Amino acid sequence: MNTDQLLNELETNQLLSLDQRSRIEEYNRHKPVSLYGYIRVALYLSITSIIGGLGVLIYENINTAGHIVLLLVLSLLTLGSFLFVFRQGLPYSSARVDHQNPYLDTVLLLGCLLFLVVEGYAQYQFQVFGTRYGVATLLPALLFLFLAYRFDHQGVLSLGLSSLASWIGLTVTPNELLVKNDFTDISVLITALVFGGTVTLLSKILAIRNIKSHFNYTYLLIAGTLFLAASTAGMITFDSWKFVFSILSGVGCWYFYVNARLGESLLFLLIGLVFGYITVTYLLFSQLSLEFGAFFGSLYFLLSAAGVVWFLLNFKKLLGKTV
Amino acid sequence: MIGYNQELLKNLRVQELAKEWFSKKLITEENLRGIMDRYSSLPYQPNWFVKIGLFIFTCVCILGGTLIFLPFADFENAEKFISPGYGIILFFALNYFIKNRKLYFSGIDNALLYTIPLCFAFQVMELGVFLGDTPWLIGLCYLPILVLLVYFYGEPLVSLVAYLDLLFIVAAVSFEFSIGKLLLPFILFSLSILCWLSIRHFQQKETTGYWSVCFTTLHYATLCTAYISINYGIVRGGNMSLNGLPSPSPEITFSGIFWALTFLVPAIYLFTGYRLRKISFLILSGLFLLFSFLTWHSYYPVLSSEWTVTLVGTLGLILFVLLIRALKTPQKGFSYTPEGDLEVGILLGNIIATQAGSLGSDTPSGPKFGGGDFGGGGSEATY
Repeated sequence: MNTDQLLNELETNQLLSLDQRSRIEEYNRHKPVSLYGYIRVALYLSITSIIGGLGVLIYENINTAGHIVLLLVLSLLTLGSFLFVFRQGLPYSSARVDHQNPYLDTVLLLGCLLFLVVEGYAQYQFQVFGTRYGVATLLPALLFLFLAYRFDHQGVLSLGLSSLASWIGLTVTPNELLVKNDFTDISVLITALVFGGTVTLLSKILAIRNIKSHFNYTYLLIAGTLFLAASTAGMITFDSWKFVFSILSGVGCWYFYVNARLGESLLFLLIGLVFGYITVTYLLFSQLSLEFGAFFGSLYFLLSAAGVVWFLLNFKKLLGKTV
Repeated sequence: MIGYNQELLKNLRVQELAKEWFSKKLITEENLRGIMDRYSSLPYQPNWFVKIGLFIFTCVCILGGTLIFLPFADFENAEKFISPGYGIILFFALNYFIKNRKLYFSGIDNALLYTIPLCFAFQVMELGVFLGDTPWLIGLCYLPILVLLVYFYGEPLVSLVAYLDLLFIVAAVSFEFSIGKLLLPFILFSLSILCWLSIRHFQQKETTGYWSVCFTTLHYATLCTAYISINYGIVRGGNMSLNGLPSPSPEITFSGIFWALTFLVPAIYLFTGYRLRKISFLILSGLFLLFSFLTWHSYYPVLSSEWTVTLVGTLGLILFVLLIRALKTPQKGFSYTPEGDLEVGILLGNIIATQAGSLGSDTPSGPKFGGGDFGGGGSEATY
C-alpha cells in the first residue's frame, strides 16, 4: 500500500482531516533529504584519511623534511583547532551539552588526532620526552579526557581511554582487542582486569554524582568489554585459576546486564549474554569427558541456545523495562 | 502464500508515518493516538543488538538441532535425506514462529531462512551434475528455490543472493563463448541496468509494498554491480584472473571506453541523486567517484600514495565543511538537519575515533623508538 492509499484510508476512517491530508501531501512533495549522517561519516573518514596519510608521510620523509618547519605547521594546525573549539564551544556543564556549531565535534577530533601526530614527531625527532615513553602516552590521555569532559565529546573520550590503556601497555581498539593484547601473559591479564574494573567503577561514581552520566556508555563499552575479554581469556588460558576468572566474568556479565536494565543499551545485554554463554559453556565442557561431551554437546547447544532465544524474545517482560 | 502477515506490516508503516507527521507538527497528538490505537497490532521487530543476539543463538540452536538426526547417520545414503529433511523441518518451524510470534526480520526468521536453502545444497548440486555438470546449470537449479523464498518472505539477503546467482548464471553462460568473454563486462552492465529498471517498475506498483525492503537492497545491489562490471581496474584484473594471465595484468580491449565509464557512471549517479533527491545515489556516487579516482591513481600515479591519501582527505574535509555551510538552511531539497542521538551513531563515532587514533600513533613497519626507561605505566618502545 503506497502513501496515497494510506492517506485515503486514514481520511475515510476520520483519523485525518482534509486539511491535514493536504498539508501532509505538500510536505511529502517538498520535504528535504537530510545529508546529516552521510556528511558526518564522510567527515570522520576524511579525518582518518588525513591522519593516516600524514603519519606515513612523516615516517617516510623523516630524514629529509624540514623538521622544524613541518613541526611548526602541524603544531599551528593543532593549536588552531583547539583555539576554535575553545572560542566556539559552550561552557562546561555536568549535563549533556549540545553545541550549536556544527563543525565543533569534527574540529575537536581533528585537533586531538593532530596532537598525536605532533607529539610522535616531536618525540622521534627531538626526543622531547627522552626515554620516558610512559609520559608520551599519559600526556595525550589526560589531555583527551579533559577535552572530552570540557566539550562533551564521546569520540574524544574513547581516544582518551585508548591512550590511557596504551600507557599501561594495553590496546582497546576493537579489531586489535583480542589480537594485540597477550592474554596468555598473566601480568597483561591482571593489568587488563584492574584497568577495566577501576575505570568502570570510576565511571559509575561519576554517573552517580551526575558528572556527564551519559559518558557511562563509552566507559562501559571500552573498559567493561576489556574486563570481560580478559576474564574470559584468563579462564581459558589458566586452567588452575579458571573458577576465579569465571567468577570475575560472571560479575562483569551481571554488571552489563544491570546497565542494560537501567536503559543504557541493549548492546550491553548482548555483550553480557555472549560472554556469559561462553563462560558457562566452557566451564561445563571442561568438566566433561570427550565421549560424553560429544553427545551432550549437541543437546546442550540446542537447549541452551533455545533458552537464550526465549530470553531475548521475552526480556522486556522479564526485566520489566521498556528499553 | 505470502510468509509474513501483510496487515501487521501495513500497521508498522502507518505508525512510522504517523510518528514522522507528528514530529513535523502536521497532525495533532489526538490524531497520533487515534492512528496508533487503530493500527496497534505490530510485528515483532527487536532492537538491532537483540536481533544480532537472536540470530547468533538461533544459528547455534540450528546446529545443535542436527542431534535429532544422529540415530539415522549410519543409514545408507543418509546424506540424501537427512539434510533436506532438516530443511523441511526448519521451513515449518519458520512459518510457525512467523505466525505465532509475529516475527518480521527479527534474527530468528533470518537465521532459519538462510539455513533452509543450504539444506538443499547437496541435492541441487547433484541435480546440476546430473543435468550437465556445468557451473551455470548448478546456479540455475538453485535459482527457483531462492526466487520462491524471496516471493514468500521478501528477505533482503536472500534476494541479494538470488540476484548474484542470476549474474553468475549469465556470466558463466557468456564465458562459454569467446564473444561472450569479450563482451562480459557490457553484458553484466546491461543486465544490472535491466534489473534496476525492473525493480523500479515493480516498486511503483501499488501491490508490491510487501517486498519494499528487498527492492531497496536490490536497488543498491544493481547499481553497485553496474559500476563494478565496467570499472577499468576490476575489468583489467578480472581479465587477468579469468584467463590465467601472468601479472602484471595486460592492457584490455576497449580500455578507453572502460576509463570513460569508470568516471561517467558515478557522475550519472551523482546527477541522478541531485535531480531526484535520492540519498542512495549520492552515497554510491561518492563511494564510486573515490574508487574511480583510486583506480586512476593505481595505474597513473601522479603523487605517492601517502600524499594522495592526505590530499584526498583534506579535499574531502574542505568539501564537506563547505557543504555544511551551504546547507545551514535547506537548499534545493537537501538539508543538514541533525538526526536523533542514535546509539549507532555514538558507537560508530567511538569506533572511528579509536581506529583513527591508532593510525595517528602507529608507524607502518615496526617501532622506530627503542631502549631507555619506561617513564611510567607499562608502555614500552612501541610508541
